[in-house]
Amino acid sequence: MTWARLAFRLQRSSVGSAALVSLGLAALGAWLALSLPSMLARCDVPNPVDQCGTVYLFGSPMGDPALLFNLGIGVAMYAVPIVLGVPLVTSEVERRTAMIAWPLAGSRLKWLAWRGGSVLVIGLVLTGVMALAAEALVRANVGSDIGFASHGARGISLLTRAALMLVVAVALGAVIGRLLPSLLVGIALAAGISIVVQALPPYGVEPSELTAAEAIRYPMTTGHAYRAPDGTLISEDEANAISIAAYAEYSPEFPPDSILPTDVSYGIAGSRYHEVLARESAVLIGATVVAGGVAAFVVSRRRPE
Amino acid sequence: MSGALTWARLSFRQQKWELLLVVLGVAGVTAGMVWFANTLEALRVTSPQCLGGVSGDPRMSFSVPAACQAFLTEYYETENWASNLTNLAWAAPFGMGVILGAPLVAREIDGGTAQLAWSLSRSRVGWLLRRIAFVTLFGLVLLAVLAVGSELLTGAIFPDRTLGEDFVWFGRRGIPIVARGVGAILLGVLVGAVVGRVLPAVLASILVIGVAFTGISLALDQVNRSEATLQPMYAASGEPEQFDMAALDVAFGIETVDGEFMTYTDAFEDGFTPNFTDENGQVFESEADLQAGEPIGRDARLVIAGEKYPLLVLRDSIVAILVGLAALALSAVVVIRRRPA
Repeated sequence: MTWARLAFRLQRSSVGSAALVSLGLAALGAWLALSLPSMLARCDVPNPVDQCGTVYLFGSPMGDPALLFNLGIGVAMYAVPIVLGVPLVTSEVERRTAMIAWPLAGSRLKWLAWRGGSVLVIGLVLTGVMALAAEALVRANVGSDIGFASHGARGISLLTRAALMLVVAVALGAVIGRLLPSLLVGIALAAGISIVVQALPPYGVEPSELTAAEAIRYPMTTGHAYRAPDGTLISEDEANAISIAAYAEYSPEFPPDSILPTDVSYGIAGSRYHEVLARESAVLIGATVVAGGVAAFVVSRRRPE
Repeated sequence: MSGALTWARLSFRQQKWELLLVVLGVAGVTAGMVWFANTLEALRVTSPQCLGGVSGDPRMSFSVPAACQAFLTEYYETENWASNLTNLAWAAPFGMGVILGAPLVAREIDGGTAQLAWSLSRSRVGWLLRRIAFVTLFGLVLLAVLAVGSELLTGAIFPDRTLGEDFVWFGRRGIPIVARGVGAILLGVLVGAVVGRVLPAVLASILVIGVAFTGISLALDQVNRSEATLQPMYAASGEPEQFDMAALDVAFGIETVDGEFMTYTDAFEDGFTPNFTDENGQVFESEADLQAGEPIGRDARLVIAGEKYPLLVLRDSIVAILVGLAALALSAVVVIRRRPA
């Protein structure tokens, strides 16, 4: 408790800002999730009320607030950990309090464990609240069978990304030792982490051909192909050639579907989401532990000023 | 002169890493802009037949020869990446305000050096001006480089348009980037002077600069709206009007039968449900009205003609600079009245 109080007192502005952003977004997400069913019910009738026109005008049943929420979540899931993690060591080094705090703690690793642990808990609670609200909103919008919908921006997948970013930010602050340069490099690293975690899935889970039902239930699509009317797989150029010939033959009428090539999608069905999520969580938690090790190594060896 | 150089050296040493990182970022983005501009130019020279004579996006046209598909995919992917760089040019002034502006005075107060500096200096205002001059000018020079690079890239993406009289990517190229930089950096300085601590000032400046420029943008939108002209999407004969690509779109909506203009949002809020539109752009409240031929108006937009581009650039830039000067004056008041510790 003393360490948590100390963590808050030493990082009042960053904890305050992170709390404001996280709880604000969570409140917006919760409000949208709670009001969405009634909003959709009001609009899903033959003569909807006037507001439904505005609601649908933005191309989403929820309109602007939902778009803003998703944008906010996408930024906050990296910004909150950076703001919490970077100042942990840099503020001590820049203000030269590290020279006092580290010897007083008995061991630098103990200091890092308590101070970093407190900030990590605060960060996980704040991003956890955001992750729950985002998950609830996706479920309100999509239904219970959400598959890979908004993967990475809700629930456990958001939390593991945020935890990794927070520990990377702590390590970065320890390596650079100055606040603003660490923040700038942290923003660049966040962009890099965001790109990498999008490219890594499906983490060795074997893709299969998606059935028509699976293709519309939020799968993770990994590949695409075409099938000729006789059932053989063909290239895009061959599919285009068959389509052009069919349209030319039947013009100005449309050709029957039976002579046109069909799309084939490969990927992981939404029902197998937990396989991917479990592997991804293991990879990201592993990366978080490695980043924590780097932070511990740097803190134990760096000069306090 | 040597005094100015001493202050410049001092400023550089105090913010060396931020300045170096910002220089690296600007150099990278500008190099990317020049590279993309040259690549697009080279692609156009390679296959002019694939790009010529097709209006809009040629990939959407069935008349595109199969041989051009791969080329067009490459061309438009390159163009898409290039246009993202101009988004960075749009965001750069605000980022400079947060990264360079906010810590300028906040660091002196936070580190306790303001007390000594203010007592040594004959006037706090003089100290403030000398303290911020180098970093502000340095930031503005970097923004000017980005502004030129962005203008060059826009010219490469839209080679057939007269950019001096065209609102395409208004605010993402040219002088407004530098002018907004003046406003954003000096707003950052003000936040830093008020807050007096580096990290809180950086975080608060994100909010203040964001809110200030959103407000400016909304206010200028209102001015634009009062100066805009109404342009129906279809002529009275039912033929589509020539779409003026160079104009600034202020609002899309309906020209009512009374000759008034209302946006779609206004229409819904006023109780209209303009959900039905015929092939001549006439808007109806219901299917019954559509069958009866009783429209409430027709599709229209409010525009400002492309010839007014230089005027609006000048006006928006002056507004941004005035905001910056007001922030500087307020910073001076804060510095004069502030207790150092």
